[in-house]
Amino acid sequence: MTPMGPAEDSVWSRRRARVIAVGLGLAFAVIVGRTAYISLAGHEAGPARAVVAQAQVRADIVDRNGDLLATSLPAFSLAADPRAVWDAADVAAALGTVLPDIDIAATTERLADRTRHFVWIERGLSPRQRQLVFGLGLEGLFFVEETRRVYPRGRLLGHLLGFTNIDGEGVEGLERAYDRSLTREGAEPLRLTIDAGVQYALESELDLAAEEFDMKGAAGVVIDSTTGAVRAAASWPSVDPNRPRDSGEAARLNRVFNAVYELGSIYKPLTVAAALESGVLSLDETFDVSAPIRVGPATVRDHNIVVRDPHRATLVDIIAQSSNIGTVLIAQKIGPRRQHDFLETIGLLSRPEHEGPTSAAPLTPAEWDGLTSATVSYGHGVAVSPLSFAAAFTAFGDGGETVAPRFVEPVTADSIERKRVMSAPTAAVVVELMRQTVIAGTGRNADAPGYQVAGKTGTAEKPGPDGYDPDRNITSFAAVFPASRPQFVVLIVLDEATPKTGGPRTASATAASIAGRLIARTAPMLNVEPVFDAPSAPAPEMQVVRETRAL
Amino acid sequence: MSTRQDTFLRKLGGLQWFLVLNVIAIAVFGTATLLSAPSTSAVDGIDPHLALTHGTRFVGLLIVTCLIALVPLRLWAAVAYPLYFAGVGLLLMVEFSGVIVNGSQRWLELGFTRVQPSELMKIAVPLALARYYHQAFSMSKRPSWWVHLPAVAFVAIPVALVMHQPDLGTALLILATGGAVIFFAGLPMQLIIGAVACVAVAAPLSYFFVLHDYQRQRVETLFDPSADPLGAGYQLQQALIAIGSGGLGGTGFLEGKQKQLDYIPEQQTDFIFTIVAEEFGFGGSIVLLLAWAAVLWQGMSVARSSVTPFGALAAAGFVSTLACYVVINVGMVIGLLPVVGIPMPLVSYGGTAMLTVMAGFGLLLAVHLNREQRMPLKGLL
Repeated sequence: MTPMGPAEDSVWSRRRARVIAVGLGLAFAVIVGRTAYISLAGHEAGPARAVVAQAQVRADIVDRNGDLLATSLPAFSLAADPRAVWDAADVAAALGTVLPDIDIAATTERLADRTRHFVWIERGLSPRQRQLVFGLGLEGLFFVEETRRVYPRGRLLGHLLGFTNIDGEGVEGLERAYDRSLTREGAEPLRLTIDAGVQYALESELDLAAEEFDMKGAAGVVIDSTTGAVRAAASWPSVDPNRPRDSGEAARLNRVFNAVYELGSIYKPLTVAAALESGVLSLDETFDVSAPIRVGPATVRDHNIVVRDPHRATLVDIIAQSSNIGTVLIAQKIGPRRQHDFLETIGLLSRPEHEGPTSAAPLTPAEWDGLTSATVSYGHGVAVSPLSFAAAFTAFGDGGETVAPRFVEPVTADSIERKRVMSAPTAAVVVELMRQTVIAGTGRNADAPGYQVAGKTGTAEKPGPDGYDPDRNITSFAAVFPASRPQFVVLIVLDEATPKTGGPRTASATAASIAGRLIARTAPMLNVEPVFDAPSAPAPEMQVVRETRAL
Repeated sequence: MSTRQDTFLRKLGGLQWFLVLNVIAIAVFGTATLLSAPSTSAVDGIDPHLALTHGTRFVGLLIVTCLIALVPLRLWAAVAYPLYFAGVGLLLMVEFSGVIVNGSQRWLELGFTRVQPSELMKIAVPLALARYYHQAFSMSKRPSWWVHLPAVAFVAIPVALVMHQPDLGTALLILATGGAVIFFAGLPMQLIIGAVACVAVAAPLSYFFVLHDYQRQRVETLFDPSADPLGAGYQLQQALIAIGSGGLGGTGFLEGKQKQLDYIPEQQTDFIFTIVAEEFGFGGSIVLLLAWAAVLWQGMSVARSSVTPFGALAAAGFVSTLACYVVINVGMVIGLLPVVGIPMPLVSYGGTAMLTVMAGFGLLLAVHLNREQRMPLKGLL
């Protein structure tokens, strides 16, 4: 056998190499060109092809930036002509392999009925499922086109979006509240005030909270306190509006709107505000919180508070350390009547009025006596929905005026519903007290460097059959930020959160850290410029007193 | 100094170092990009887990590549057929007893590990073809046209088996690689033109007159992602938005919004190019694509420099595989080609593809080292 010594031309045709090189060169030129086109022309150039341009029966729902949250897509309902089906059992079994939900026995029966031309097999199949059915290559099957409501972001904003029934009518959430405008002829997409990025951050923080703590439920809200625009609202456990029936009753409850909680000490800033507004409290006043006090049949105590001089606790001490005794003493100066009126004005005693889905009415005490007044001053005995509380808190974020929550853009300057509930100086003082709570009090875990979080922790025992149960807590954190010129209100409420590592069940160890992480994560998306406090700030007490004298 | 050591060092020094450095550069680029891949566990945005695994794998495999490069080319020729037939055997086993992952049957449970025989075929097919043509060319300088018939069978069998799994992407890759080798080996132009003409005439005819309605639908959705906006179409739409938001200079490392918000499913694997384009912009994409162009160019020069048909064709086959990987991956991410599940080698996260590609580079380097050595048929299996 000859040793193999191929002449180069026979092994390797230069012409062919050139053909391949030119082909590859062209392919590269095409992909480079297309990448350049998409990169430089902006994404408008790209997705046009992928966006569905079907005649839409129901308008889309998008977030404030136009990200798609709900849309209507063609769906396919599978039907069959039994006369064209060869073997009903075979066909039914084959369909069962790609459509696990169908009842094979019932389908076999329907397909075997040769007296009929048309039988339904399954409604609302996706294009993908239709492909799978096509892939089976069965005769006698066909599809009838319908539309189906689809939520491409899955669980994102699931509760607030709500869902539709099989006939495409909104039966829950925004889908229900805006059913008419969504189905109007030629309706534009419904643009929400929600920011999908902030919403995603909120939901993933609640998910992380569920990893850290054993908890029954949670709610979170982010509101632009200057306009009322709700940027995020999440209830945990989440639901997938694409499959609402897969979630249990407990998960389907929208805890932001439809659950009411006794929220605890996050009411204390409201009590201080009411006292300042009534003119019964001066800023340098001190209170004796050294011993429990009796209010009618009950005794009010403090838990683990660290105050320099318990006989002379300052306002900063009372808020930052969350003193029940101090707050009750302040409430007693206000008196039940004025306290009731203040809470009524701020909107915590009646069903909140706002656009969008309705929210739950509060549970309020039947009688407003000294004892009620004392417990309400630190957030017990009155239960409201997280949304209503956050709405009341916008007063601290907007110079003393509350703004009504808004869910749909545009939110124009003249459409914002403002209501003055306290003076601007009062709001500023309370914000500063809450800032000190985060710098040196129970809210330290909520600090988000640069964003000047001002907030208050709330740990409330849940009422059980035998009175309040110290082992089951609602923990909450209500905040405004940045403290120097508040723009946003954040409220986090956790239901029975218990750290899995066995730490304390208080809000400072649970809700506060969730709120802090959320603010650190979302402030950049909300265009809040970070500012840093002066490194050597004077002692907190002195600072407040000085500032307020200047007011 | 012992001769043995001398040969070893000389061989190592004779490696195509520019090619190797280029490959390293791409892998470093890939690792950096993965550092920025979305993750559910990272609170601060960075989860080094993927990047670390990717980098470690690459370093390990680079050593393997260099060792493979030192294997005499004769040995490659000797294992070509056994490897090919073992691969076909494994594909048949998958057909009958494979594990179903993600709806496709492509993995084979071996007790200790799961292997994907279709991956092996990406190397084995060009090797076997090169081996086959080597013999054909050794026996006759100008073989007649029918020598190409068995070669076509060599390609058709694994393609059919892989297609049936179904793994369209890999089947396409094997088809393209095998086709390229046959083309280089001199399949007569008349035959090629004839085949293309036949397909051009038959495809539309069968599309309209032979295919059933459901079969037509299948073809249509493959090329129109908007027909499935929740699956492939959604992914593609988000990918295009990511690329579009990159602009010329990108949003900056770790700053991509599409990425941070977890918009794109499987972004660390097949859709990694969207991170490159979003964070490093068009500039970054161009750098990556140029690096790949350089690698392909060098691979082709290696193929051209080999005096043996085996070396030339095996190298050319592997370079075709690489070219397909890159072009198909980018093509599908930018919406030019259907989404068929082809990763970007060395950049996408995933061990199997990297193993294949690095083994291929080993082969390429071996061809380079042995480019002037003739390979007599005698003694070859």
